Amino acid sequence: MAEIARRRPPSYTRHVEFVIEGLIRLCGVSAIIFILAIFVFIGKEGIGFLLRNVLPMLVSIDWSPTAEPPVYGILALVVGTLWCVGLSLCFSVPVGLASAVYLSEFASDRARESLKVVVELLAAIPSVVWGFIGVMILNPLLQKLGAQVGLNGLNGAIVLALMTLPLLVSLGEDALRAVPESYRQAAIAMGATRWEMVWRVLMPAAQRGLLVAVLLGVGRCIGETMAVLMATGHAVRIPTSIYDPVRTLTATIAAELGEAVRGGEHYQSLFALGILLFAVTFVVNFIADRTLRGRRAS
Amino acid sequence: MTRVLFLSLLATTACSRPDKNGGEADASRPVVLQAKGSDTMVNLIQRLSEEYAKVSPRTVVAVTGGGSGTGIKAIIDGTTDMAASSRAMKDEEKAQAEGKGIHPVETTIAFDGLSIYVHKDNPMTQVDFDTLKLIFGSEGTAAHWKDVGVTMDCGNGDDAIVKVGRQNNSGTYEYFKEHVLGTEGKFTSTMDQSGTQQVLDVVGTTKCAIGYGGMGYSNPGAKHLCLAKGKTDACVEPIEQNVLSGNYPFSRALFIYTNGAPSGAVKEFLDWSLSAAADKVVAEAGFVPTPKSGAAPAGG
Amino acid sequence: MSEPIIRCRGLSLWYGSFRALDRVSLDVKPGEILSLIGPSGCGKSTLIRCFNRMNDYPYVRIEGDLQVAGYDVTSRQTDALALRRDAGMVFQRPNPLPLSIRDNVLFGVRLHAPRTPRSVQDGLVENSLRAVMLWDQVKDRLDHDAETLSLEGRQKLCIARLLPLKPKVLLMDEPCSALDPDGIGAVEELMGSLRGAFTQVIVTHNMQQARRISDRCVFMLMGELVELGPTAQLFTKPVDERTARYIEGRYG
Repeated sequence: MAEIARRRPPSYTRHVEFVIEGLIRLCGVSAIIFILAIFVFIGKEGIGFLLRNVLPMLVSIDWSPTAEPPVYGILALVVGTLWCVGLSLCFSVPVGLASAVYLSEFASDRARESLKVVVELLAAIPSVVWGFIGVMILNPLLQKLGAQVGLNGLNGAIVLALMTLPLLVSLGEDALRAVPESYRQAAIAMGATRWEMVWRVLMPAAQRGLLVAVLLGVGRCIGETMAVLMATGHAVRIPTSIYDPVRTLTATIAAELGEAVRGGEHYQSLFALGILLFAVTFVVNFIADRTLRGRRAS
Repeated sequence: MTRVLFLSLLATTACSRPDKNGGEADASRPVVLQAKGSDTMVNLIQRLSEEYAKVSPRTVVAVTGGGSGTGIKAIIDGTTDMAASSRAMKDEEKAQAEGKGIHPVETTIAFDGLSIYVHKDNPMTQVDFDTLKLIFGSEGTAAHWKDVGVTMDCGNGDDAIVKVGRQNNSGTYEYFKEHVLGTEGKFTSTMDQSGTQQVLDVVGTTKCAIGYGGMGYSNPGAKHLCLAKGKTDACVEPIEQNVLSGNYPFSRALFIYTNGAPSGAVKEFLDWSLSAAADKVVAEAGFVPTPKSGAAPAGG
Repeated sequence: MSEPIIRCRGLSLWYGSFRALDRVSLDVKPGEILSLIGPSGCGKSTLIRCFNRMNDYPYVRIEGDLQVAGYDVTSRQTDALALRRDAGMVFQRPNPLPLSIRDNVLFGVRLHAPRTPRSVQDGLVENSLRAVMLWDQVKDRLDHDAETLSLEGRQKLCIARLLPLKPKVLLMDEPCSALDPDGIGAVEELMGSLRGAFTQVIVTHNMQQARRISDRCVFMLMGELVELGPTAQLFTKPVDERTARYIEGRYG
């Protein structure tokens, strides 16, 4: 004991502790500062415009920021975004949750490990590559299936679904695995089949966790940019068919921000779109967070 | 794609700006010139800079696209040496530049013909401005090919026109809008692509599509249309001699904007680009070189 | 002497290469309470789990003959779901499902008889909860989450949910080990009241409990059935010396 004490004098230890603690605190505080800074930056550029134009923005479907006079209707963009997200959930939720159930309840250890690698690989594919997949593979495929234009809302939705699948599968699997083993035993011991056990016990028990997975998937969909820019056809319109091209909020920002004159109305309008997106994803994540908290509390 | 490149380059340009407009103290040091703007012109300036490097090896022209608006924005913000634009600067933009102490000077570097493209299976061979307005205008009534007298089947007996265009801040978009729809005119909903090549890719793979874009592009699935001004006028093919002669109704000048009259390395580059030596390069890029007599051609 | 409801002959079980049961033979008579005692790891839980095929894992191998409520348990062709309906199990930790009290009681009914009319269901819920002496306590909050019950209440509910299926055998794997003394008393009282109506097999590490409630008692050691006899006799005049030593408290 005495030897150890001599080798590490208390003052030295105290200084090292102090420095490390300071660094950790700095990291934590800087994360908060960065987020606030981003918020302030986006807010500063766009909030004035948003407040001045909120009503015309919300009622018009015409987005012509470079026309004379410019029109900043975002209705079609909002509908386009929701359209893509909604359609993509129709694919990703059933498939994602089914895969999660398979991985957590039915797959052998070896199958699970290899499938998880595949899922992680899916997650590692960059957004632009998904865009290419939309353009090069889905585009002709959808045309063969009868779509006039291969780059359309459905294309974007499929790409989004593929992108959100890894998230849904891994979070869904976590949620299912968090269900106590005793529930499974109880159901099996009463003569439930594996499937009945999943459907009647696991699903209700993992409800919140699965909902969180879906909500985070929604957040991911709303925020996704590059892939939808390439796959959706990028046309401002209210879709009437799943084969109609659409345009999303994010794609609009990505396509136009580089060319808008800094400080101009068009530039500000894009930041206003940014605020809107920020607000929507914030609300979605907030709900997800509350849902998760609810689960922990109960 | 160019946009991603552009955004990442934007960050680096600010730190890589040696003095190019005068102080050429060290002749051995390479001079990097920034040229930014029109996607239509990226290809052109790239080729010019490659050829120019053979003449003047120490000059490097870094070319980035993003659209004419991007270039003009960059010259206003003072982040580029040359702005490439396929449209003239608007008064509003000039005022903004002056407000920041920038004095943009325009140099015509080449001419471009704007082409109308359709799928190769489309029986249409020519089109006029009125028909284009019916198709692309917000007040236009042509939603189906039969509305403009063309019999098409795009599958399932449907013949709805798929309208493909450029992004609302590209020079091509502005140019098309001004000439076909009028300054007050507005587009109907189109699939807005970020470059002429993308327009052609969509048109080439979509049977019922029609699109507009620069002249120097091709796609095996697409063809261009012969263009007439009015319904009764004879149509003109979008080829070089028709552009230069002023007969092609859809040709335009391509501009380089500099802050103040070009000087130093920028002036040397532009002078060379306008010289007869560069004509071949311009033509190869699919554009029309400036006439060397000094008289600008009509149109555009 | 009526037919045994559980008939076990030379039953052996291996977890991988570990032999957990060694040629166990025993008969359980209808309506009796049989307790399984023995030190930890003696195989008593393994044995009771065999009775409704809860050991269906790829690494488990079973040999011997086992008949439970008319089912040939070791045969692959046996309908395990039906077997589990007729031989219900109660676990060490009360494990009500994350559903309402009512839905917990009806869980098995919905699995095995999904078309049961609601009026019948209501009757089943009431009777089952009455049988486990829980009805008066929960009749006004049947739609509450089962997790809101006390541990004792939950364990009673776990027994109650087996009853609507009219099982022949109740298998209880240390049903009282998570409960406080009051809870233990209540569950033991409940088991006594179910005597005769159901055959009950109970695993317990509590010798006093085995003594209090069971008609007959089995002592197991190292996977082997050492002694089986009327409870009073096994505890007072054990035949085997190992039983005697265990009862005196020399193991575990």
